[in-house]
Parts: sequence; structure tokens; C-alpha cells
Amino acid sequence: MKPDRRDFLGSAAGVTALTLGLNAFAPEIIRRKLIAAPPAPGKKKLVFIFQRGGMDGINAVIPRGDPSYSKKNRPNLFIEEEESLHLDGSDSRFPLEKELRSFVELHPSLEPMMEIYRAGDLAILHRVGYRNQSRSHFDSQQFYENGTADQPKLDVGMIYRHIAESLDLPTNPLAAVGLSSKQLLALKGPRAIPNFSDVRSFRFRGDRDQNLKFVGSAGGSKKGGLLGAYGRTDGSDKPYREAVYRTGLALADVMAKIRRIDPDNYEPDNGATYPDGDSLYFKAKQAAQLLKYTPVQIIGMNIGGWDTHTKQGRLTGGYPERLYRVAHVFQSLYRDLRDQWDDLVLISLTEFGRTSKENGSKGTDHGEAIVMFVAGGGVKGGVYNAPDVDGWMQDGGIFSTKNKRYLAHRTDFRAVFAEIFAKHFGDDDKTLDVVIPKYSELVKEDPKRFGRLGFL
Amino acid sequence: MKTLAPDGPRGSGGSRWRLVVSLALACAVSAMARAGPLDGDAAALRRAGHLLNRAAFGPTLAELERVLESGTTAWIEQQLHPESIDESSNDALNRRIARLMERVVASEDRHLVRRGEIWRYRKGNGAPPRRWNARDFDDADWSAGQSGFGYGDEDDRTVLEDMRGEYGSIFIRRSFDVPAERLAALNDLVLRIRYDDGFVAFLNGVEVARRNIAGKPGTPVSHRAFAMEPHEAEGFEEIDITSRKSLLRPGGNVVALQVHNRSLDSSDLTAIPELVDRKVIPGTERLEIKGLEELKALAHIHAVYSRRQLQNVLALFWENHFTTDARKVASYLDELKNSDASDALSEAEAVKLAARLEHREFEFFREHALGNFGDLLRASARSPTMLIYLDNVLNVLGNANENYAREILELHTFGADNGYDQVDIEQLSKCFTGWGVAKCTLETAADPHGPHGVQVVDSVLVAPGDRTEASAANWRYFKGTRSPPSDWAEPGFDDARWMSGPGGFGYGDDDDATVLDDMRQRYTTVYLRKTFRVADPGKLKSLMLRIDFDDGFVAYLNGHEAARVNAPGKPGEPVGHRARATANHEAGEPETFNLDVVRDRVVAGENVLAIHVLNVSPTSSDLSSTASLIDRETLPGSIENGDPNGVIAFRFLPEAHNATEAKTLFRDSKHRIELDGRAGTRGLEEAERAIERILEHPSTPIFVCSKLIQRLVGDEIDFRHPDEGPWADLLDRCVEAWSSTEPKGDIRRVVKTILTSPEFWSERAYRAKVKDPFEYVSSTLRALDGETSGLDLPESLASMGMELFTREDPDGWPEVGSEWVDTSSFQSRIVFAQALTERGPGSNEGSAWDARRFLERHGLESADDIVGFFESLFFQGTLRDSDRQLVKTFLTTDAANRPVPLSRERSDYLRRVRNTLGYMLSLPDWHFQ
Repeated sequence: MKPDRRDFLGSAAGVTALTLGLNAFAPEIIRRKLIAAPPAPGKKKLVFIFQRGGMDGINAVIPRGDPSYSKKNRPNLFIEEEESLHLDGSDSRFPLEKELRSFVELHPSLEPMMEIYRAGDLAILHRVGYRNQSRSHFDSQQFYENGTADQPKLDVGMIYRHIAESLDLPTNPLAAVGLSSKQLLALKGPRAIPNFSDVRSFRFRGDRDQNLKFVGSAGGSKKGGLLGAYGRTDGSDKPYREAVYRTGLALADVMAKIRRIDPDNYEPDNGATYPDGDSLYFKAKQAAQLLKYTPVQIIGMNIGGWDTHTKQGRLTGGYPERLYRVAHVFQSLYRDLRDQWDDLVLISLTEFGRTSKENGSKGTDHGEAIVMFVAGGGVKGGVYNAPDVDGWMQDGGIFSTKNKRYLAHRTDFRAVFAEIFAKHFGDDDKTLDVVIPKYSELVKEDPKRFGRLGFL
Repeated sequence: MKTLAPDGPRGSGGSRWRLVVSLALACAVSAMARAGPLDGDAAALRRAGHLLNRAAFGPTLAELERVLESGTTAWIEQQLHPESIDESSNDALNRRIARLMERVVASEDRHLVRRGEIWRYRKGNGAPPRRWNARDFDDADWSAGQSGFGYGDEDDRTVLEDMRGEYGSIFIRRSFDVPAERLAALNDLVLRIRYDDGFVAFLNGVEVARRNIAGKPGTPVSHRAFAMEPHEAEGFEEIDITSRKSLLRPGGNVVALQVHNRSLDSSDLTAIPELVDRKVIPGTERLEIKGLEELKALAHIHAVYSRRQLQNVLALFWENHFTTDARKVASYLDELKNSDASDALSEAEAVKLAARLEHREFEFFREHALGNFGDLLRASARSPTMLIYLDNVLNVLGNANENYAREILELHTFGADNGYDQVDIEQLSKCFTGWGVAKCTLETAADPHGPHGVQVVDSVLVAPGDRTEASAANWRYFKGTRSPPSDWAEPGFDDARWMSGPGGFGYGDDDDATVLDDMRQRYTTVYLRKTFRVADPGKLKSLMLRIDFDDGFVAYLNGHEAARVNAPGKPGEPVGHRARATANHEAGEPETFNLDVVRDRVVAGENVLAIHVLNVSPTSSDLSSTASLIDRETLPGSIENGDPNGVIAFRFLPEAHNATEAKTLFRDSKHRIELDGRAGTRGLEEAERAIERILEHPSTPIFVCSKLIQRLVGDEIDFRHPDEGPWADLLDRCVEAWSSTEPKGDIRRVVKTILTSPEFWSERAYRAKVKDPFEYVSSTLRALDGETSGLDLPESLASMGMELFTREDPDGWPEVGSEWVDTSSFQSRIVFAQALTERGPGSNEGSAWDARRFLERHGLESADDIVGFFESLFFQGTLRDSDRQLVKTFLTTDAANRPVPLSRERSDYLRRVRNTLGYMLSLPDWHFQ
């Protein structure tokens, strides 16, 4: 469908939300946004970690007993049975507090996750994906972040749409934060969601007085300085104008609100740690403070380096180290945010899994289904889509795609997010259809892959 | 369509337009801004601004004047032919570039003293004896150890564990022989040294070099002295001491150094000295980029100061289109070995070499920025940086790697899913097998079939052994259930009661000739011995241990430690029989270790190689050790990976090419092509033919022209539906221009089509693009005639979310504006504008602006002058009235919003102008172009 800019602008009454207007349903979102009354702000929270590059799910959550998971197919990556973490309670180091059993095993680097698993608060979602898997990083990241599986160039993120629908952005511009020097696509949208990688350098130059004048809040007025310039929208129909104005306003506004966050002098609770010198730990530390001390409800962050075409590493090396860091962040936030654990959902995702067979460079290439970790006080712990070996093998196990190269998905990622949006945040069906384009149609078309897993 | 139609030259001389820009514009700005209609002087200014925002990195006053003088059409024509713009007299550009480059010469180096040799050393916890550095000084009671010396940064072979907090200096000596005939033939004498933090070097007792140590040359330095400032050991520094070569004499000589730390509690110290006899090869002098930061700075310098703006806009466009990550290139180079198994390059050297390879590629893109697209694609395919970055170097027969095959289609030519599928990628990756890189001489660099690398002859001193070997030739072994006598590795130890078996010890992975099936759960280490005979140790070339191991080991030659991997404790410390390897390591690919450090220990007659093999845990599923000892001779004509004279260049390696399979591309279309497997050097032709077919394919011009339109005109392009949207007609004309020449793909024609199109000059395109960080930084510096070396800009750019030459993802930095609109990058942009406008000339903090000179040169004094002038310069009269008023208020009030007159007499005059400019460059409109 061709974009119709005039109609788009007209219906949005000057809210030129989507700067490009390249996609079919964007105007619909904006219309709905204007009609819908802002929902009451809830206190439910979400932290997501995007593993950029495509995490190998098969070596993270190991289908032990799938005969194809073998030293033959993974000569340099295969994890031995006595090396992996067992989830069936047979490992005396990890007695289960709740009755959770699964035949799959975890990579030993994921040990910090076991604390949450034992408590029954960790759901491991295997075999998540979408139909016609793209093996392009860029397209597939956009699919996951946009909540579509065929419109890569849409530039409003799925999480953003949820925020716009369910949280009160106009009165609380700090409802969500991207902990990244470039905003995550999932959080991109017409009302700028603030993003920064280091709260300490999120400042302007000059002393307090100079700053007040520069920002334009001197003497209580908000008409001068940056606030004056960015606050005066002019109905221009040029691309990006509104986005730029709103971003400038959000910057000035949020900068004042996060002054209290001081990662250098922070003492986490309950034995959580955020070791120095690692950017993911530093982001997690800031996330914990934001969740404790500000009205932030949704936080996104990245960890890169998962594109392990060469020397992926078995027990040591890049991949195991990164797995450990993700697991450590889960554990630390679990401990540190115990007071709000029931209101929190913590998830990890990635753009695709990897080839089930190792390649010639001791690594793996782009594949299909992914593994997601979901933790939170309201989460029903356990392993999903991997009931037992027989069930796992029904369609061919790790070589279950048509071309027998990859692990096929059983649940669409949008069903996972729909469950989070609906069960955790309370989005109704109508809202879901805005957040996840054509969601109700998709459920009707393919109830199996779009059915809820029930982890919440 | 409302347009800002391109125009012809205005006025005959330059004076009229100069006047308009400098004065009339400055004073009559608001009138122009309201002029609205797109003709007259105001429109001419807007047109000039538009052109410079897109075909250049933003307006400078001088460039605005040029466009207004010559008219946009002539300006475009000139920029399309960059060679017509003289840059030899562009001093601002050339002197800045010169600072980023260094002179490099090729040379033949012969070592007099090499790293890793045994030196005598003495800790600086007391004054050394007088004449400690003299030739005839008796150092017999000093300790002995291999160079380098130091602690704390893992680059030292003799680790001074007790140094930190105890003593601040060490004294080292090395005797070496120079036969008379060699002395007579000696060329240049070079001290090559990696050091942290300072040192004084002596040759036969006379000082020859001093770094980072206070005092005039020749003055004695106390053992208590500290280095003047910190100096990290990154690369080797080369110090020419040819003028002191008369100090050498035939026979025995001594090089001695005293090495000093910055402080007692410094975290590290390093001294790795070498003495080199260097013959410079005449005619090989060339200029190379100094390093990666300098390369990034170079891109900035061209953008800010070059007059060939369009060429540089496109050079960066192609660099980004064919993006590579210098860090990945560097880590590949860092792993290269020499034929003697030593590291070819230090980490710093690898980064520097990666920067040079990136630089060569970048210069090619600049030179051909307006040339033929096919030339760019072919060059990129063969560029060592691309071959490494997209893993074509790993794409070999039997182990195809799809990375490059995917991206050449998805990102370089067709666009995602636009006329190819997974099968095409798999087929294409097979075509590219055998495309790799290798070290070669400068002369043969351009020939993909030329000579390269090293040819060696290996003599096996100790064979790994095989299952059929007679027991006499077998290895002896001892299970680590208890400790063997402490001299178990010595030549004189009697191993007659040890068990014997063929080499290849271990269990659990079916790769062992002697299976230790009782090892698991019972013992974690095993001791191995093998005797071998050497007739004449003097004839040994390069001694190496090749070992396939799981999980760790310590190797000894005649009782002297020779190599150590994953073993607990420090080098030189024996390992207990109950020890475990410190890390997991899988066998499968033998590794080679240079043993030259123990070559002196080889004696005529019987010798012994001993290996203590370690498992990572008692429950580990396997253990392996298959070792051989090799004497390696390098044949003449070889070039080592670490040879600084050669280059890393594209090579086609027939043995890695899949010549047996026929490949089919684009099978169900009229572009189908069959590539029969070709053997030998002709295998190169398969991928070459595939590239030509890709260039002929209609997807290529559509995708590449779409990207050019997006860069130069507007973002509204959906690459999946390029025939839709406002630029669809323009795209048609671009594809026509692309196809109108033979060969197709003339970039100059396409760009000319774009820049002279009604779409480019349409109201819709005007100020409709968001600057990316590079454009923001460049346009800011250009508008102010700012002062920069370029070296501080990469950090600013990184804070805005962009890093040149080191993007991890192969899709290049995004072109669409929405990618750059976020709070973090806005904050960084504003801080950059604030800092730049605050810093005056001579600032050592980075890029600066000479505000006083700028104001005086343009006769600006009053608030109206200043606001009007900069508004014309920055925004060409398009700033909103409300913003103009904000700027004026900002300039004429204090921090509490009280009016304060602006006057040159006041001490706050310049500061307020500077702050106001910082504010102007933080306005919403400055993000647009």
C-alpha cells in the first residue's frame, strides 16, 4: 500500500508521529492513540536484554537425548553430560524448591540462573521464532523489535507501542528508558523514550546557572533556552521535525529527573553484585537504581557479540563468557529487586538461533528458533516447548526445519510478548492488536504457534 | 512541484556576491526568511545552502560564496570532476594530513640481539657496582633470564614478581659476538625496544639512548630514579644509533640497560630490547597512516578542509557501503604466526597494520568515488580488510563460510531478499572458496597468484610415533599417581623402569596411540620422556614443539622448561603430580611453540624431550598429548608474516578452492549462470564471473541508486518497494543513467542525474534529512571555520553513537534520520557544540574556535549583527522567528534572564558570544540538512 501523507497528517492532527509514513498500519496506531484515553499508570515493570548477533540456543539449553546433539555434529562445541547443569533435580547442588523437571540441560555458564530456576521463577522458552525466518541480522532484529515478521522498515518499536498504549508517556516521559548510546528500535517511536548508556555523563556543560539558562528553566520559566526552542512545535510537515522537538524536550526533562542516580555510590541489596569494568553489568546496575528510585517501568539494553561464526568457545571463550554475564545480570536483578520482584518481568531475546551443526570454523552460522529466558515473581518456572525427549523429537529435534539444518520454532515470539503484555500489564485484546499488528488474525490463522505458553 | 531550481552563474565578478553574503545577508536576514517565494537573493542563498548540505559536509562562508558566484550548475560540474579542483595549495588540509602520516622504509634486518635471549639481570634494590655496564664487567653472579623483563602486563618472559612496591629499577646486560667480517659489513644500527616506563641504554659502557629519564645524555642515573611520566609498552620503538656503531668491536660486546618504573606501586614494567643491523632498501620510502585513530581523524580532516567536497561525501558513502571493522581485521592479524611459531605481530602492531589496510581501501574509494561501481565492488571483494571482515579467509573447500556471499548480495549489490535466495548464497560461497590473504612483497602484492608466505623444510627430531613402532623407539611414561623423582625431566634420569608406548597419550577421544584407560578418576597428570640424538647442534635452524593437547602441559628440553600451557604456577616452577590444568583445551588442531629459547641447551649426542601432561579435572572425559619436535629451515624467497617490509594482500589459493563442484546462480531466472568447477589458478575466475553477473543483474543498479538517492535527496525509500514513494521517477532516471554507459555503473552520471533533478531541488527534499553524527560534527566545524587536528573527533563521534572504520555490523551506519534522533546522541551533540564554541585558539583540549578573529574578520559586533550573520550562515534565513528571538534573548540576558547589554568593552563579551553560538548550534534546526 502506498503511503498517503496527507491523510496521515490529517488524522493525526499535527502529531506527525511516524516520520517516514512508509508502512501501512502506522496511521492506524496514531489514530487509536488519539482516541484512547491514557490508561492509568500501573506499577508493573519489564526489563529486556537483547542479545545482538544471534545467540546459539542449542548450546545454552541443551536437548540432551536428541541423538543429533552429538560430538559428531558439534565436535568443538559439544557439552558433556557431566559438564552441564541438570534441571531435573538430580544435581545435589541445585535442589529444587518447586517441582520442575525437564530433560534439557543448561550450559554450565548459566549457573547463576539456577538460583531463580530453583525458586520456580525462571521460565525457559525454547523454540521461539516466526515463520519464514530471515537470516539477516538486520531484518530479523527489526522483526523481533517491531513485532512483525515481514515489515523490516517499520520504525516504531513493539515495546514502544505497548508503552504508548498502556503507560502514560505524556505525563511521565520517564516511563521507559533505553540503556544504550543509540536507542533500541523496540523503544523507538514518536514520543522520544530517553536513552543513555551512562547516567553520569548525561549532562550539559557549564555550572548550575549556565545550565538553567541553557536548558531554559531559569526563573521557573520554560520558554527560553532549549525548552523554548524544542517546545515550540510549528506544525511543519517536514520529516522528523516532531521527533526532533520531542527528543529535545525529553532530553531536558529527563536530565533533571535522573540527577539522583549515582552508580558510583550504589549499594545493591541482598548480595547482588555488578562488577566494575563490564558494560552490561554497568547497565544492569543503572537499571536497578532506575527501577528503585524513579518512575521507570520499562528498560531495554543490549549485549552484543553473539554472532559466533568462528571460535564460539565451548566451556571457555566468548560465548560462554557472554552467557555467564547474562545469567549474572538475571541473578543480580533477582536479588537486588526482591522488593518489587512480583511486579517485574525480566526477559532475554535474540534475533535468531544458530545452525544445529557446527561450521568449519569452530563456530555456528545463522539459524532459526531462539531461546528466551523469562524471570519474575509472577512467572511460572519451568522449561517450555521441551517437555520430554519424545516430544522434542517429534519433528526431528535440532534438525527439524524443512531443509534439516536448523531447529524449527514452535511458538511465535509475538505470542510470548502478547502473554507478557496481556497477563503482566493487563493489555486488552484491542490494545494487543495495536501493539502487535494483526495479532488476533494471526492467532486465528495459526492457533498452535500463536497460542500462549502459560508461563505467566 | 515547488522547486528550488538550479541556477546559472550570478553576476560577473565575485565582489557582488561576496558583498551580499558578508553584509547584506547579515543585516537583512529576517526579510529574506520571510521572502517565501523561491526566487531572488533569498532563494539563491537557500539553494546554495541546500547544495552544500547534501553534496558537501555543510556550508562554510567561503563555499557559500563560491556557489553564489558560479551558480549551482557550475559548482556541481566542478565537484563532479574533483581533479579540476587544485588541492596542492590547500595548506589547511595538507599540513593536517601530514601530521597523521609517517614515513616508512623497507629494510633488511639482521638481529645482533633478539628478544627471548638470555640476559643477566640485577634488581635495583641497591646501587649496582661501578662499571656494571662495561664490556669486561664480570656478571657471573647476576641472575639469568630471558628478555623481556618486567611484570604486570603479561608480555614478560622473566617476571619480576617482587618488584612492585619493593624496587623501582632493574639492570640488565647481554653479551653478544660480532665477528670482524660482520662488523665491517654492518649497516645501520637500531635499538628496537618495547618499554614501560623509561630506560637508559649502553653499548660497551657508553650511553647510546635514553627515554623518559631525567638528566642530560651521559649523566649517571641512580637506581632510585623514577621515569618522568608513564609510558605504556605498546609497539616497539626504533631508535637509530648508527652514529654509535664505532663503539662495537670485533668479538665480544655488551648491550646493557637500566630500566626504571614510573613509581614504586606502578602496576607494570616492561623492557624488551633488541639490537638490529639494518640495511635500508633504497627507493622504498612511502607514507603510511600512523594508526587507527589517525585514520578516523583523516576522514574528518577531508570532510572539514577539503575543497573536493562531493568526492569526499561519496568516498565516505562507499566506505560505509562496503563497511569493514578494523578491530576484527586486527584480531585476525594478531593471531598470525611466523614460520618459527613465534607471534608475527604484537597487538599494537596488528592494530596499526589493520589501520593501514583500511587506509589503502579508503583511499581507493576516494579515488574512485565518482568512477565505476564495478571497480569498487571488485576492489572491495579483493580487499584484505573485506576478506578478513566477512570471513572469506575462512571460506575454504569443504568448509564454506557464507558470510561474504550473503552480504555481497544483501548489502553491496541486490538489497535484502531482492532476487536471490539461500541456495544462491550457498552456491556463491562455494565460488569464493580459496579467496584469502597472504603475506607477500610489495612488488608482487597485486598478483593474486604471486608468491607469498614461507616455504619451509621440517626435520623431525622427535616423531609423535605410531601404533606399530617398535618399543625401542617408543616414549617412556609415568602415571601421576605419585610423584616421580625431581630430576625426572633431566637427560641423566634413568627411565628404564617407566612404562613405554607409542606417542599419542591419553584417553576418551579415540585419538590416542597409548590409551591410559585407568586415568579417569585416578590421576590427573602423566609424565612423558623421549630421547633423541642430534649430531651437530650448531646446525639446528629453528627448534619447535608441535603438540596436539588436552588440556595442558609443561615441556622440558634436557630439563629446562621450554613451553607451558594451562599449567598452574609460574613459568619455571615445577608442577605437582596432583595438579590440574587451569583451563579446558580440546585437542584436534596441533599448536606449534617456538623453542629457540632452549636451543642452546641441545647437546651433541643424546638429548631428552620431557612433557608433563595435565588434565583439567579427574572426571574429564578425555586427555591427549601427541607431540613432535621439529627443526625448521626457512627457504630463501620466503616472507614471514611478521616481516615489516611486506604487505598482507589478496591471494587466490587453489588448494582451498572448491574446483570439483559446478555451481549455479539465480537458477530460475533469466540471469541464471552456471560456473563449472575450474582447477588450479583458474578457479579464481568462478567468483570473478559471478561478480560480473551480479553487476549485470537489474537488482544492482536499483539498490545502489536507491541508496545514493537516500543519501543525497531524501530518506523516503522502501528498499523492498523501490518503485513506490516520491523518488521513484528519479530512481528510474538514475538506473537509466547507470545503464547508459559501457561498462555500466558510471557513478558520476548517476550523481549528476540526482543533483540536477527536480526532486533534489524540490521543497520536499529541502532540509528534510537529519544529519548523522559525522555530518553534524563536520558541518559545525565548517560553519565556524573551526580548528581541529581531527584527533579528538572520533571520541565525540562515538558518544553520538557512530564510529568510523570499526562498525561491528556489515550494514554500515544508517542513513535514515530516525536512527539518529534520540536523547543520548542529542545530548552528545549539544555538549560537542558547547565545547567547541567554548575553546579558544591554542586550546589543548581539542577542536577549537577562534571567536575573536572570526568576529573581527567579518566586522561583527552588535547582537543584531551577530545573530543575523550566523543565522544566514547556519540556516540560510530559514530559522523560525521564535528561535531567532530566543537566540537574541540568550545573547542579551544573564543567567537569571535579566537584560545585559552586549558590548565589546565588557569582559563577558566573548564568553557570551561563545555560549550563544553553542546554543545556536543546539537548536532543533541544526540537526537538519
